[in-house]
Amino acid sequence: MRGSLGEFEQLLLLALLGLGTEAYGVTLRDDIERRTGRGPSPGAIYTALDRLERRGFVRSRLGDPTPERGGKRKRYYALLPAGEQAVRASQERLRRMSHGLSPKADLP
Amino acid sequence: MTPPPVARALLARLLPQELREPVIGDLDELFARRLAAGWPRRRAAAEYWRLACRSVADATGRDDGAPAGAGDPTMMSIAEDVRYALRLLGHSPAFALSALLTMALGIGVTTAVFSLADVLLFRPLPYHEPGRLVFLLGWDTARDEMRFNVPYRDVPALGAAAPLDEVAAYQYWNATLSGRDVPERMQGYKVSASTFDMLGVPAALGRAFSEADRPGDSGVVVISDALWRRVFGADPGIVGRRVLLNDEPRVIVGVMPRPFEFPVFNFKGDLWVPFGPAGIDEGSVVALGRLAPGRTIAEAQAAVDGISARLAEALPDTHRNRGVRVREMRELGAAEARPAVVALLVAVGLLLLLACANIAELLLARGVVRQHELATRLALGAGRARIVRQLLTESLVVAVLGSALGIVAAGWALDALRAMLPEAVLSTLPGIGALGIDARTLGVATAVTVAAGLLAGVAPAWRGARSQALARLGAAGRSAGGRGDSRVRAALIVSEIALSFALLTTAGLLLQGVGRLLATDPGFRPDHLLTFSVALPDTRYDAPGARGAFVDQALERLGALPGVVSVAAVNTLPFSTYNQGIGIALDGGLTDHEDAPAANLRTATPGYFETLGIPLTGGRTFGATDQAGGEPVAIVNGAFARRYLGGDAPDRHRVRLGGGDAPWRRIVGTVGDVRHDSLDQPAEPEVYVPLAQAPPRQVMFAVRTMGDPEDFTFPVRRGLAEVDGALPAFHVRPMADAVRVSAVAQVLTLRLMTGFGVLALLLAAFGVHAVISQAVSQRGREMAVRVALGASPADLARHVLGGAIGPLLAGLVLGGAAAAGLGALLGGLVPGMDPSDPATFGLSGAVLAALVLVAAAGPTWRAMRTDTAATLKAE
Repeated sequence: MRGSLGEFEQLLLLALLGLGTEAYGVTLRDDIERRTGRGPSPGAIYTALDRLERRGFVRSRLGDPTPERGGKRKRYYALLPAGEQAVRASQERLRRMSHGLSPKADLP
Repeated sequence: MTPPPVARALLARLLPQELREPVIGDLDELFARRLAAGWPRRRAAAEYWRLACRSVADATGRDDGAPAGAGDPTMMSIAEDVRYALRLLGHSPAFALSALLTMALGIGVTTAVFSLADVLLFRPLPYHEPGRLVFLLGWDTARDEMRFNVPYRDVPALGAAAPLDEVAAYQYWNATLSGRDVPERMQGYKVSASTFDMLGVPAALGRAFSEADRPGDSGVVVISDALWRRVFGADPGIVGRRVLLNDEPRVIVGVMPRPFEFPVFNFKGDLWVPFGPAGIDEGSVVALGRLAPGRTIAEAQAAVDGISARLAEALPDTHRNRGVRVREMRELGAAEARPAVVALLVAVGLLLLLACANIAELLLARGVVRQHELATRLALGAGRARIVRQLLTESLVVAVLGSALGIVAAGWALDALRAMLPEAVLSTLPGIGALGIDARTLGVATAVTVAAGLLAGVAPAWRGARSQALARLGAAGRSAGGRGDSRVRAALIVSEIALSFALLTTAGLLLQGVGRLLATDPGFRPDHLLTFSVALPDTRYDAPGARGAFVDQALERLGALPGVVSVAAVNTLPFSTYNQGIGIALDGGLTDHEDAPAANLRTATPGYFETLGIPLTGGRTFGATDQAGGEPVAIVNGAFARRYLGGDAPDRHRVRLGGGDAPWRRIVGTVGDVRHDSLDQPAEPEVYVPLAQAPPRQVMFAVRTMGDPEDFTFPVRRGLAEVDGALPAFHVRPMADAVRVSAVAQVLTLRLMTGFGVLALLLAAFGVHAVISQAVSQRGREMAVRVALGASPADLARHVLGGAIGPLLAGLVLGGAAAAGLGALLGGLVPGMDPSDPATFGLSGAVLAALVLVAAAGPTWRAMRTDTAATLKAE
C-alpha cells in the first residue's frame, strides 16, 4: 500500500511530532524508550529515518560537533507535512480496523 | 573516560558511510551521559557494545519496513545457519563436548606434526635465495659413498666451475674465549671470507667478512647474536673490542643478526674467523656454493666432475677415486629426516580421518533424532540443497571450534616436544628454536579444518537430504534404517578398523624395531662413563711432547679422584659426533685390491680398552713402554682385520698411516668392533696407535666411575683445572646420554607413533561402539519380530556380531596394506625393523577384533533382552 508505514516508522514520526526542534538520535531513542519500554538501536533509528527522508516525510540538518559526542555532529530531524499526514492516516486506518473488536484493542 | 575503542573502530568499519557520524556520535553521547549519571564504566561500556552490535545488525540487515537494500540474503542465511548450529551445540552439551574434543585431537596432532615437518623438510633456509645454495660433498667414487670433507686447497679449483657463482668453505674451529673470569669453550668456524656475501646476510652490528678480508687477516672475528647477548651483555659498542681466542688477540668486527644460523645441519656457530694466509694447508673442509642464476644442479655436477677428473690426473696420489657431489643444501638436511617425517605426516592424516569418521557418526546419530525436524522442514518447502548446506555448516562449525582448541593444544604439544629434544638436535637443526605455531602452520591448519569439516559432514548431509522420502512414508523418527543406512554404517566401521589397525600396527612394528636397535651391543659398556673434551691451544701445546705430558698429568690427577675406577684419553670417542679417517698402507701388498684403503684413526692411552670395556681379542693392549720414542705399534679392530688382512694373523703385518714418510707400525693386537656414530651402522675398520706416539690437539677423556657419572662433573672439572686452569672441559656428559642421543630420531618417532596408535584405538573403540549401538537400537523392531518368530537370544547375538565380522575383515585388509606402506617408509629410519613382522600384524589384528567384540557387547546384550511386546507396541 502506497504511503503505508511500519510500526517502528510510526513510532519515529510520532516521536518527531512531540519533540519539535530538539529531535535527533539520542532524544528520539529516549522518548521511544520512555513511552514504550523499548529502546531501539541508533543504527535502526537512522536507517529508518534515512528511508523516511527519501520518501519525503522528514528532513534532516547537521548540527555542530560537541566534545561529548567524540567530535561527531548531531543530525537533527524535523517532521514534514507529508510525514504528518502519513502518520495520521496510518493511525486512522488502525483505529478504524480495531474499533469495536475488544476494549483492549480500542485505540484512543 | 573514552568509549570502548574496539567497538568504536568496528562501527567505523562496518556501518554504511552515511550512518557512521550520527550513530557513533549518539553512542558516544549516550556513553558520556551514563557516566555522568553515575554508571560504572563497565556497565556503560557493556551497553555501548550491545547497542553497537545491534546498530550494525539493524543498519545492514532487514528491519520491519521495506527492504533497505543492504545485506546479502545468502550471507544472511549462512549467518543464520551458523547461529542455528551454535544453538544446537549448546542444547546438547554431551554431543558438543565429544565432537569438539575429537576434532581438537585430530586438528591438534595434524598441526603439531606439520609444524615439525615444516622445520625439518619444507621451510626454506634463512638465507638469500636459499634454493641456489649447494653443498659440494667429497665423494669416494670407488665405494660411492660420501666423505663430507674436501681438501681446502681444492676449493679455488672448484670455484672455477661456471654454473657456480661462488664456492666457499668452512671448518670446525673450536675456540676458547679467555681473559674473563672463567675460560669458556665456543663453537667456532673458520670460513671463507666470501661466505657471508654468498649467504646474502649482512651483519646487524659492524660488518661481516667480505672479499676485502684477505686470507691471513687472522686478527678479526664475527660473533653470533646469542654470544653477543650472553657473554657481552648486548653491548652496542662491541665492534672494535679485542678478545682472547685460543690465547690469541682478535678484534670483533661484527655481530650477526639474531635469526642468523651458520652452518646448518651441523653445530651452529658462536663465532667465525677467516681462514689463514694463502698457501697454508688448512686440511679438509666442508665446501658450499651458490648456483649461478638459471643454472641447475646437473650442470654444476657436470662442471665439477670435469674439474675432479683434471685434479685426479694432475695429483694421482691424493685424488685417485676422489670426486665431488653437488647437492642442494636444503635437500641434504631433509634427506635423512624424510622417511620418518613423511611416515608421521601420513599417520596424523590417518588419525585425522579417524576423527572425521567419529564426528560423522556423532552427526549421523544426532541426525536420527532430528529426522522429524528435517522431514518437517522439507515438507514445509525447504530445498534439499538448503538442508545439505545447513548440515554442512553444522559440521564446519564443529570443525572450526574444535580446531581452535586443537591449535592451542598443538602449541603446548610443540613446547613439550622442544623440551624433549636433546641439545645435540637443538644446536644443529636450523630454525628448530622457532618450532611452534606460525602463520604457515595456521594456514595449513585452516585448510585442514575446512576439509575435515566438509569430510565429516558429507554422510550426515546426504542422509539428511534423504529425509524427504521418509517424510512421505510417514516413518520419520521411528525405526528407520534402509539399505543405504547400513551401507554407510558398514563403511564407517571398515574405515575405523582400517585406520586404527594401520596406526596400531605401525606403532608395533616400530616398537619392535627400535627395541632391537636400542638393544644393539655398541661394542663397549656405555654405563658409568663420564666423557668430556679438552682442546690444547697451539700457543702452549704446539710441541707433541707438551700435549703428551698434559694428558699424562690429567690421567694421573683424575685417576686419583675418589670413586673413579679408571681414566683414559683418545682423539675421538664413540658417539662423540667426531671422527678422524686416515689413508693406510699395509706391507705384503695385501691392500693392492683396494683403491683407497682407509681406516678410522684412534690415538689412545694404555687404559683405553679397559676403561671403555672394549674386549681384547688377540695380542696385547698398549702398555707403559709404548712411549713417544718407542717402537711404532698399532692395534686394529675386527672390521679392519676382516677387510684388509683376510684370514692372516694380524701380528705378522705392519701398517703405515698417512703419507709416504710416516713410520711402519707393527700390529701388536686386535680388539672388538665398536659402533662409532650410531647403533644401526656396523663398525668400520679402525686402527689404534698409542696416544703418546701421536698426541692429538683435541683430547677426549673417558672416566669410569663407581656411582652416577653425572656426580663426577664437578670433581673432574676441578681436577682438570689443577693441571691447567686455562683449559675448559667441554661436551661434558655421560656416555650413555650420547648413545641415547644417537637414536633420538628413532625414539621420538616411536613415541609419537605409539601415541597415535593409542589415540587411534580409543577413537575406534568409541566409533565402533557408537555405530553398532545405533544400528541395534534402530533395528529394535526387526529384533522384536525375530524374537516373535522364534529366534533365541543366542541367535540375536550371532546376528548382531555376525554383521560386524565382514566390516572387521575388510578393515583389517585395508589397514594391513596401509601399515605395510608405512612400515616400508620407516624401514629407512630403523634398518633393523621387519616391516612385515607377522607377530605384530597378528597381535594388533587380535586387539582390533577384541575391540569390536567389546564395542558390540553392550548393544548385543541389549538386543538379547529386547522386550518384544513393548517394542512392537511402540512401533
